[in-house]
Amino acid sequence: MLFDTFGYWGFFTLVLVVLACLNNRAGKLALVLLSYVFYAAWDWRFCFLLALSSIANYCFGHWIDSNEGAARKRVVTLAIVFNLCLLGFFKYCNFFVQGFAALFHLPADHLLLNIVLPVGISFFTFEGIAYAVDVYRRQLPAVQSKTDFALFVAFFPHLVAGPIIRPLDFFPQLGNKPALDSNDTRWGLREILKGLIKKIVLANYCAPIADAFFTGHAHGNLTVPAWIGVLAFSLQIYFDFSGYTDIARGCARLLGYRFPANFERPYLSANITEFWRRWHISLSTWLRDYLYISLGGNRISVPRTYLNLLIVMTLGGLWHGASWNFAIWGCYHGTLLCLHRLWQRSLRAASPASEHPWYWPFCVLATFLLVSLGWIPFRADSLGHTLAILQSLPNLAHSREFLAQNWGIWLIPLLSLLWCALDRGRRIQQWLAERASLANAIAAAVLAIYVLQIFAQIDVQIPFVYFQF
Amino acid sequence: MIEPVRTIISRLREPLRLALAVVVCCMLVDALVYRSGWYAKVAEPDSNMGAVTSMRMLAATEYRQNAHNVLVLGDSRVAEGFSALVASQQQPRLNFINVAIPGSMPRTWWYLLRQFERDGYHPDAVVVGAVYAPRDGTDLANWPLDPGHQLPLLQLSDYPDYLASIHADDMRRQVREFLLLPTLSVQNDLRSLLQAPLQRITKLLEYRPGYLASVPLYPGREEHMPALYLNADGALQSWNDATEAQKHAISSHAAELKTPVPAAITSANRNYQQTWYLKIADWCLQHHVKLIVFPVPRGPYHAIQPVRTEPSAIRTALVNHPAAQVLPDDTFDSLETAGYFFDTLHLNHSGRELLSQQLATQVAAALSTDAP
Repeated sequence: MLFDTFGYWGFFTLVLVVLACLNNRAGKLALVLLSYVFYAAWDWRFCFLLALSSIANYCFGHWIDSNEGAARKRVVTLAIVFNLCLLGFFKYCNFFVQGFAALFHLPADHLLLNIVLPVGISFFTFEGIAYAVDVYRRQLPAVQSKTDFALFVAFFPHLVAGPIIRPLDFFPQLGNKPALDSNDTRWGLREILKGLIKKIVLANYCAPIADAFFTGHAHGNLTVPAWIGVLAFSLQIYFDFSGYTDIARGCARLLGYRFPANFERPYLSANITEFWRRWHISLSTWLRDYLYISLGGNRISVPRTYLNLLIVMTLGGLWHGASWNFAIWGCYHGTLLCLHRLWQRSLRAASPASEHPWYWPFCVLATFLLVSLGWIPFRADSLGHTLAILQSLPNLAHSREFLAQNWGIWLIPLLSLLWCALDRGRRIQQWLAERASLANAIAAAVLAIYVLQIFAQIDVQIPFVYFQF
Repeated sequence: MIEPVRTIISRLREPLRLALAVVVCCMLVDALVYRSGWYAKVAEPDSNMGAVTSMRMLAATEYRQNAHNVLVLGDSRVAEGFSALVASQQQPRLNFINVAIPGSMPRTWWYLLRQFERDGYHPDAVVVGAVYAPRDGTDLANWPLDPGHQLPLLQLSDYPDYLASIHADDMRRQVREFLLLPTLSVQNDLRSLLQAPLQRITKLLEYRPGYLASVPLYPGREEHMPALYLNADGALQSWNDATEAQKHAISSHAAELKTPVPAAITSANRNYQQTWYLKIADWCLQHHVKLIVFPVPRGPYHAIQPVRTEPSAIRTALVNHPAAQVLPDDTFDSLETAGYFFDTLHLNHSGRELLSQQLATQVAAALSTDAP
């Protein structure tokens, strides 16, 4: 049940009506059941895994809460190990087996287990870890209500591709039946329409170009120049993932719940540190709060800070999938973060006033180029493929013909920039959700629906990129 | 557990109010733009939707109030193979109007006929050029060009029946989406309109009137297929002076004729033909219009055409229908020669002249002897 299908919206309408008819307690129970129905639409067998994860983490929470001192630490360690084992078995088993086989020159085919990756496992295991650590740190008491906990893990808008929900953000919302006013409704509808445009119009336009490039095929009888293929993937992954998040946040809001922002126009970041504050925020803050800080963060020593950054980013890369390419991507970003930190320190030492607005556009461009280069190992099949693409980047042959035939690839970034300039500080979006007259809000929604219909890529069915993680 | 009705209403009021307002506005826009027929007028004239509009416009200019009007329906074989001008000259008493649409099917013709009635035309006869026994394995009920031709002719009340008449799940789902969101069905057309609006306006204001004026005068194509030396079994003995393109086309055509059509498709197509020809005949009966169905010449090489073994579905459906007359299968067999075709499907100028004259004579005879 994908967000960009009519089936999902039929399901969502049903959920909306059911939730309105039931009181808070029954509503939450219904929401859990319906979330399992949503999950079962992919593969009903993994509902048992989801239930196991929920039950285990619920019990771990109580166990942690009822212990003190070293025992408390042992239990939280056990909870983390349990979640990592779950993730490790389903996501990394084959990866480790292949590595083992390569190391000892064994035939990998006999050793590999044909394990299907359960959708969303990376997200709900990280949420389980976050819960255990929050309880351990006494930031949150163990949750008493089984329904509340099951809802935290399984709530369908964030179940399969995030954002990663933090217990401290979510549980306080479950106390009373959430109210729903006009602003919530407008906000929710705005996010849903925005997300659908990002996914169906923009990401799905770029996806076939990126796919053609990374699989070595022609697009519309033309070879995709390397830099355009990489640019297409940069645009695809942003519009795809942020579109998904927008829809998830919009749906949650219409059901009365609030999810944190996951993207804050990351491609307008002027440096890599800022990029990671604005890209996949729920993952980067999770990594900061539960991994970077646990490793000592920047409290121990300067070299250790850099090492921690590298470790966190490499593990963050591996979180995306069991492949050395993801590790390289993570390591690359870790290195960029270290370099930026070093550069910032030297700048600060040289001149305390480092604000130079005139070169801000160049910083944004440089950051975008560096981030886009990073997407090559992220999307490529192997290290060899990555190197081949890097070598082919300076080759600009066929660029003009390709851009003339696929004008969307330059028009989309241009229009996006124009939109960001017009909607500086999201003022237009805020106005639409809060202050616009009903007629204006409706006109904007109708316009968005027609934009969707005219420019939707209906002849291609492309799953959300982050479903595979 | 269940909330009081007032609470439920208050909770759903905002989302419902906004959703309903948006849906109503979208429906209003759709009604104004698409369902009113406005968009069909500005659609690319060469598109499927544009072709239907062009034929409606042609009917408006060619229809004469006090004449015996004869509407001729069919696909590209009729568009290329029948000249309304020649037929009307042959039978000056009758005013033939050729509204055949390339790539169209009987389902389109039925909806088109109904639209002509709504446009205020009352012909004396409807003549349909039919492929009595389709041989190319096309699944008629799921013909992909149909939505483009038919959507501008549908009304809201048609939707359930129309959807039920499509058998393939994928196509039915797609058409359901098109009915719900009509913009999706004209997406490519709209994009090209937005990309070059001036070009479209020029095409609508200059090209289309010129095209409509030239349609009745169109003489047909001059070129012809090469005569082949075939033995008694229809096997090729010599290509004669065929070009490479012609050799390729003839080989494909011959292979298609030899390829057995799956029984399921044949059966579904027979049902389809019976259903839609019967609907056309019933419409004719209801409106006191004579229906004449004629077999379009099948191809340039009579020898390789399959032997007719069973009565066609059209004949079976209409044999006793009081409004219909189905011309014999072999009526135009004499035209199935290379000299009368410019490709493997379509008659050329000479074939067009002959078919038009012969058909006009048959129609005149049918109208003078047999009133419904």
